[in-house]
Amino acid sequence: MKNKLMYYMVTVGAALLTFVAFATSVSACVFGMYQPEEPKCLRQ
Amino acid sequence: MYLMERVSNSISKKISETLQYDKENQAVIAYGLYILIQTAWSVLLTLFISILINVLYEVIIFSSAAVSLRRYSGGAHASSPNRCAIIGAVVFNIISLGLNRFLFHANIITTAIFFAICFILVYYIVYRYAPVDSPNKPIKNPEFKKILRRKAFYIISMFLIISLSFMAIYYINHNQKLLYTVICISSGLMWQALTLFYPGKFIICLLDKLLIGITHLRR
Repeated sequence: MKNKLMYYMVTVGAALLTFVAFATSVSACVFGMYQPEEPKCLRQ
Repeated sequence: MYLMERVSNSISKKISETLQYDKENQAVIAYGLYILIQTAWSVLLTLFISILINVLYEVIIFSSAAVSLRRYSGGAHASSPNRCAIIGAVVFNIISLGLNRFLFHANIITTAIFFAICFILVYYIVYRYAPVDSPNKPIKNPEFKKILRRKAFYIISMFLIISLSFMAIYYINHNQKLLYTVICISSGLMWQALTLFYPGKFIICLLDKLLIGITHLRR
């Protein structure tokens, strides 16, 4: 039960982080003044 | 490799192992996490200093305007995430402090002139220079550049409408805070526009070099 809950939390977290990455990839840069290197798969 | 990068890489590796993701997905998650950590750190540092010097309201309005435009216009960048957070916190708080000291009691005429000058310049600078990319996220596609510039114009226009509405409401209730908010919005957009070309880039580069110098001195 605990493992299942953990798995769901990780899945939701991964989805959220993927959304943040994609949302940033369709903008000119990140909010802050430092731009980390964008993964190659997001550049396309 | 910076600490934030190491932390986000290590967490994304664990997530990818749990969900059996490939390397590409892992890199995307690490990128998302890095952005999240960096943004949280920058926001917390900026807000913390603003509370200390009592300019929280100005900083929230100023940075909201600047950051909204930055997403589509791009701009100058610092050379590390920590320097980015420090420069952002210093610049946002110093400008907010200046606004608080000199323009808090600005009347409608001063506000209207300030607002008009800022918006005309912002429209021109964005038209002329946006979007500004960086080596870590180059923008090569001309169609994408057009889309970003158009979105930057939407953002400026949205703030233009908000500012005009505030000035119109001021005539009804004479709330000084409305005029002050217009000044903060105009300044935020103006600062962001300046980072698209020489003046803003120079200031950020100068602060960046200064912080690099301080780091080397400490070693």
